[in-house]
Amino acid sequence: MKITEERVEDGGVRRTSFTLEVGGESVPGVLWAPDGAKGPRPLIIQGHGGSQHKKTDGIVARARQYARRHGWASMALDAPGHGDRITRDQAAAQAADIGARVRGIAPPAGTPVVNEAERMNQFMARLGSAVPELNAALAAVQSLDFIGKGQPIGYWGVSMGTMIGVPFVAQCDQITCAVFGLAGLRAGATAMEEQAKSITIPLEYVFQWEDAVAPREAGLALFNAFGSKEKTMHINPGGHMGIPNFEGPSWERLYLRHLGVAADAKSVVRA
Amino acid sequence: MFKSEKTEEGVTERLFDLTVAGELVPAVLWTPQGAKGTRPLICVGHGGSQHKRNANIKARAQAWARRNGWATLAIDGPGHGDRVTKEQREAAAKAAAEGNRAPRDPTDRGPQHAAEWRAAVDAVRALPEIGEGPMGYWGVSMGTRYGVPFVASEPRMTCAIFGLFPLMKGPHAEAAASIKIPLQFIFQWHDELMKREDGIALFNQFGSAEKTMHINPGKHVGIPAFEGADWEAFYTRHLGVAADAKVKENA
Repeated sequence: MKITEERVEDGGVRRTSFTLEVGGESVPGVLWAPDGAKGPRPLIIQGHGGSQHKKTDGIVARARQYARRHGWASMALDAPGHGDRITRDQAAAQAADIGARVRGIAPPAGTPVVNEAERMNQFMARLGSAVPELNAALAAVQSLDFIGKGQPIGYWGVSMGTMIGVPFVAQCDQITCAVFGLAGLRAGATAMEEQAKSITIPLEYVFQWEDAVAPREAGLALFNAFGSKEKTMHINPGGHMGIPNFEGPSWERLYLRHLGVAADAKSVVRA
Repeated sequence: MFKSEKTEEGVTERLFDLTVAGELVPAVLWTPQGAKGTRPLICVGHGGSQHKRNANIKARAQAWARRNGWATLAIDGPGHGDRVTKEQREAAAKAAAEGNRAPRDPTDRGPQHAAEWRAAVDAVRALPEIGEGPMGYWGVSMGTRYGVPFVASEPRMTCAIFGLFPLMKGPHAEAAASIKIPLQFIFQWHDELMKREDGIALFNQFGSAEKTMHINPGKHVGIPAFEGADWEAFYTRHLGVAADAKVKENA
């Protein structure tokens, strides 16, 4: 793990940028924690969506707020083929393509027709290295004195953050609870179904009722597949990009319930 | 107006009766001790075989009054609580415990009970310690059966929490479609009294732009305790807290 930059952001949050060599690839990552943090604390691993990157607005806002309020650390990596792992032009083209798809806009004439299951398989194949990368990054940040090992860990990731998060959480026995959403279990996705069934930690699963890329039936099927006894699905009207802001505090309450606050946190846990 | 008053740990509970279209309607009101001035009001409709002062209703009303300064109003549903004899209550509770309590269409008594609710709301909003503030509704199962026609007929309602109820074609579905205020709709995924798709159909039926369905595993009686925190956050967002509340809004 090579630290490439350290800076203190607004409100006393320290952002540490790093790179990690995994399987011959240089993986860019970032870690947020209260400035001056000492000693172990809960960690939240945040997985960004398709065409986004590790410092996407929602991730940064949550990471800063979590650090300020509860003393939690947050970690995010650029997924394979995303963020600093591609050029700006490639990122812009990808954002245009995915942006059109999540808004339900048909691809331009002449675009090769690929069926949905095949498209998802290709997509997941490109993301194949994401799980070993997350494992390596988790081990690396746990060697830092202000993160530590054996502390509760939460996962947050919707859309592609769930497509990567489900296989990651299924094979990582250190995760305490997770927020997933905006995804679905499609016919024939047997690997994902097995992974979902093997997940038994508390979950919150957020879903948009008019999502152009995640049909209702597939969304309900994924919720049903999770093996957890405590799992709550939150359904809101609207499209893929329209999760209401009030779901944020609900995620925070899930993490508070299951991770607790850091020893040096400013917040007080209220029942 | 009140026939009794007692205060426990900073929350005052007062009982009163109303007569609406010849029916005697027993009601209860919880407010912070010594409350002065306008404050949010939450109307709570109890479930089948329960009554206005059920333990879970009383506990929530007290917690809300202490933390947020909210007032809570509950009335006995038709054929429930002090509107029936002890023997009738016990027979109903026994039937419910045996699983004999399929959801019923409220067409018969829905309009009368909605009128009772509106009369109770009028009575308590005339009090200086309640006034014309924002108002929420909470009621699942039978509390949704009667709550949907009530909320649909009450333009002063700000937001509502419903749940544990299926879509029923007819006046109930029409009332649901006419509701446009922010909603939370709670549903149990293994509810022995109704089908999943009928619960989803009622959620779909509501006319509100802001509506959230929460689904948890488990049977009809088994909503996880953590949903209570989400209800409180929902009311805080839409009703605010009372001027004399101990908590600050931070949502």
